[in-house]
Amino acid sequence: MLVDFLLGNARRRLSSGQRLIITGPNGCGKTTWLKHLSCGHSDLSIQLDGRQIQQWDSLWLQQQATLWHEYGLYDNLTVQDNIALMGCCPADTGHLAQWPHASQYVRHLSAGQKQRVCLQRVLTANRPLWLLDEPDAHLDEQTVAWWQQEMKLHQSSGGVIILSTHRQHGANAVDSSSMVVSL
Amino acid sequence: MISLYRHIQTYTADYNEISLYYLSYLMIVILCHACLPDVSIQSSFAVNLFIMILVVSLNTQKIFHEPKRLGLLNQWLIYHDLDEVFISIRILSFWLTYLFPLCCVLGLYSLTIGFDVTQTMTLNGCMILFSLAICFKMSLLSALLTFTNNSPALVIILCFPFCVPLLLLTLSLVKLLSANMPATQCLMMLVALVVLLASSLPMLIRTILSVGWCADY
Repeated sequence: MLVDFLLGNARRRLSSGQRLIITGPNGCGKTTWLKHLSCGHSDLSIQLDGRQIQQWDSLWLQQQATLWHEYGLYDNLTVQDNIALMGCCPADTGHLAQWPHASQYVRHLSAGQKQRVCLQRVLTANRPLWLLDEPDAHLDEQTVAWWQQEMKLHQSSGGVIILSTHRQHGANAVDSSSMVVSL
Repeated sequence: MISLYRHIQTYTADYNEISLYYLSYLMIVILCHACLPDVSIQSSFAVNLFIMILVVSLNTQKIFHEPKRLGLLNQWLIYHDLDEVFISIRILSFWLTYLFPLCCVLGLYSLTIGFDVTQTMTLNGCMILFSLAICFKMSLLSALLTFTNNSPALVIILCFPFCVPLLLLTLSLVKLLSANMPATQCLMMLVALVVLLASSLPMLIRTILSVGWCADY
């Protein structure tokens, strides 16, 4: 997959196995840019594999693994029920099945724990493109380290990740396969 | 079946809310019948059907509008492709949770006001078809609501013009049954309407939802 896009007044290129990290202050348009990309919005100048994003099937774009500020979880259902509602079998949910909070109601979870459930859901989606809006929000250091590892695994299997973050150390700890753009 | 059960769980997860729904329905029915003790069977059913439309209109946003607010619509797109089967299951589970129990109440009610068992069975079948048709119409409105951030009031305003012909058809059926006249034609019309709605609306709703998810951006 090759993503050619205009962001921060410069045209950039992202290929398979790479990660784009968008940083910037609150309200600068990080989430909006990601949502526009997910919806194949007509005002974006993005090419996917040489074709303008508007020419792609909008449903295909919407079906890439995404993570937004809304958790997409029913507070009055347990974590397991929420995952089951998505049609994921227990084998797909990996270590979430053994997670001590799996049988708890979502309303009893902390923001970080909810975020972790959402991240696990991104993993089970098994999509080549991940669009993540502040995936490390509310997470503790241990979970951030786990998530960094998962992202590296996805990149090593040829996946592309586009994410926004506020964590400066997250943006600084980048390797050759990552690109940081400040808005 | 498991999928149906999971969706029912999403509607019934809040016990307080669902109890309040059934309680408010029963209270309105009792209040209406206490205030109008000497009305005809047809008027009595008209009141019941009207209340059914009203209470369901107030909850219709739970089908698609609320999931969109919670961020679930996008997840359904990813995991279920939001296909016609998934949408039909979502609508059917809403019907099973909110409308089927009301049909049962109306069935019992028809027994108490002098209908025999055969008439009650036909009437119950008719109520089930009426509620299914209403449910599909409401779900279309619920899908349209994903474009806007509004209240259920808009659903009620938009829904009533669509409900009136259906209401008249069902009431004429009740009138025929109470007069011991054959009601097969009316029943067949209702069946045809439900089949038409069930086969065409999920496709339309799917298109609306996939566009509606991006409507805010």
